[in-house]
Amino acid sequence: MKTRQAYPYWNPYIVGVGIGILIILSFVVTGRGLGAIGAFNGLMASVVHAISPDYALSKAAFSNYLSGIEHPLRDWVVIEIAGVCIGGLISGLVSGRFKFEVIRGPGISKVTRLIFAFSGGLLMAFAAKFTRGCTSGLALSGGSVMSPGAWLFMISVFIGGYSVAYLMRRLWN
Amino acid sequence: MKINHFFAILAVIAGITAAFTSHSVKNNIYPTWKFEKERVEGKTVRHISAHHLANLLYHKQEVSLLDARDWSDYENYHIPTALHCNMNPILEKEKSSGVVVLYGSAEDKNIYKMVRELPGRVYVLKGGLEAWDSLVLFPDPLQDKIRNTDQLKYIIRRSSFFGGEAQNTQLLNLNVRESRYREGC
Amino acid sequence: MELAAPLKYSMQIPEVYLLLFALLTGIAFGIFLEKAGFGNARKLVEQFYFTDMRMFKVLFSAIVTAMVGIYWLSYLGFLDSTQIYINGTFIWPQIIGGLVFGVGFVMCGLCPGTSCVAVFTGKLDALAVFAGLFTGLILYAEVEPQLAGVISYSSIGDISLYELFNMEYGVLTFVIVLVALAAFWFAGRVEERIAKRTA
Repeated sequence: MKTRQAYPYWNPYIVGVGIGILIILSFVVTGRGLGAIGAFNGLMASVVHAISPDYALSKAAFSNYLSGIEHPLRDWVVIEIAGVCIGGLISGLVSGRFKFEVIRGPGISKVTRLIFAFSGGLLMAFAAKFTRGCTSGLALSGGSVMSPGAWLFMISVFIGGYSVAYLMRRLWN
Repeated sequence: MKINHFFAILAVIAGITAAFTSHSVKNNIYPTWKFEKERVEGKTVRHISAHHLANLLYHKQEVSLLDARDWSDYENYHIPTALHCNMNPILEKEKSSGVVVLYGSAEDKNIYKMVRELPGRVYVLKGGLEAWDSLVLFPDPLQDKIRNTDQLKYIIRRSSFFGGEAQNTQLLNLNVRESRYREGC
Repeated sequence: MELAAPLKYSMQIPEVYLLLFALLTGIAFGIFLEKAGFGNARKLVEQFYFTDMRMFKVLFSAIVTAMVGIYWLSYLGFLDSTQIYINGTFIWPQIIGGLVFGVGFVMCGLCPGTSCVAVFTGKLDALAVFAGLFTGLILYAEVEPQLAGVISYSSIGDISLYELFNMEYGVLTFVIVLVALAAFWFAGRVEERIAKRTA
């Protein structure tokens, strides 16, 4: 099977303006912007509830999503993340960028990269619960309505990232 | 690079026109203005909004209040801690710390003459006692553009602090919170 | 004039159509993210090594576009700016959380939204990020009772930046547009400088 040459990436400003228009549309129709980590919360709550309902209801972090008459998966942010997955799949297939691989720097092994990815995800989930949002929900949507917390969060993410970039250089370069 | 420049020029034009068209009193957001200068009968007058006066009193800041109406009206109801302008102690104080506010009823034009006779910087309550009644004592959240439950609770608390009562609270349907409790996104 | 937006309230749209709209928005968002190259963790992390400032450019141009659009829609009376969702501000949790998020971001190279895009374009490290996210949520649920006071510390409510600074809405919009344009120009210069150094 001939592998197609991958298309080049789009101009980042065009993508930014496109996402900005999406955010405006989202505010006009639903009064809310985008979101990402809320879907993980809802998904986690429903999975844990399916496995062990007592445990799920005893923990406040999960029971918040299980209270109410609707199912936790019947939520705008879960449907939106499902759309993000579908959109990524479509675009990846069309652009020839669909490939099973582990993205890593040249001098590091796959296992180390996977360990770092796991612990990075752990830190991010913990932090996202503190800040009540991740980059797409808090920084993008909160930044566009000028919430001070969103701007503080964005500045802190960049400071935190740049400060450990040198330590992690082996991981990527 | 052409399209980047196009976006940049568009953003600058939109931003400049935004800077020149915004006016928070005319924007439909919850009134947050505090002091305003206006020209009345040829002289500039300083106004204070009823919300800001209520906030100052609620947080126990130093405010000297003068009532410019008749003595009978004053006895009937006056803003708490207000003194009638016939009482001399305030007028004799040369330097009073804090904000000095003169208020009367809304259609009273004599207030602006009185303000000029008083020493120092005196603010006039915009809208008079009618504004105090409708915005502070008996606020109607359906009329005002309340953004969220924190603001609403503060308005209700403040109105009962001054002895009033918020109207129409049972009809409220604040849409900014989702029906299910969730913080963040 | 009766304010028309958010349409959810003025037109009483049934929930099914709102979920359908969320799906379409998500599909478009996913396409945009993948077309910008954020399905690949290296493209995101190169931002922090100054080789490719894509993440910063996409993020800020989206914010500026949306900010200007929302200002104009609310000035023209179409959008009711009191009914849109403004994220609450919790000063210290968001600063500390942002720092930790930044550290985790450089460790794994993907944020929660782009990790979905990465998983669905076949990248296996994104599965590890998924596992990490889920484990982090369970860990947080375990630890939360001890953290009850800390997490809501220093909340100042749902205010906006222009109220905090006592500025006009439009003036602050213009200031942010100028700052963003200067930052884009600067980012372009940094990229050229680094490219020259490594070439």
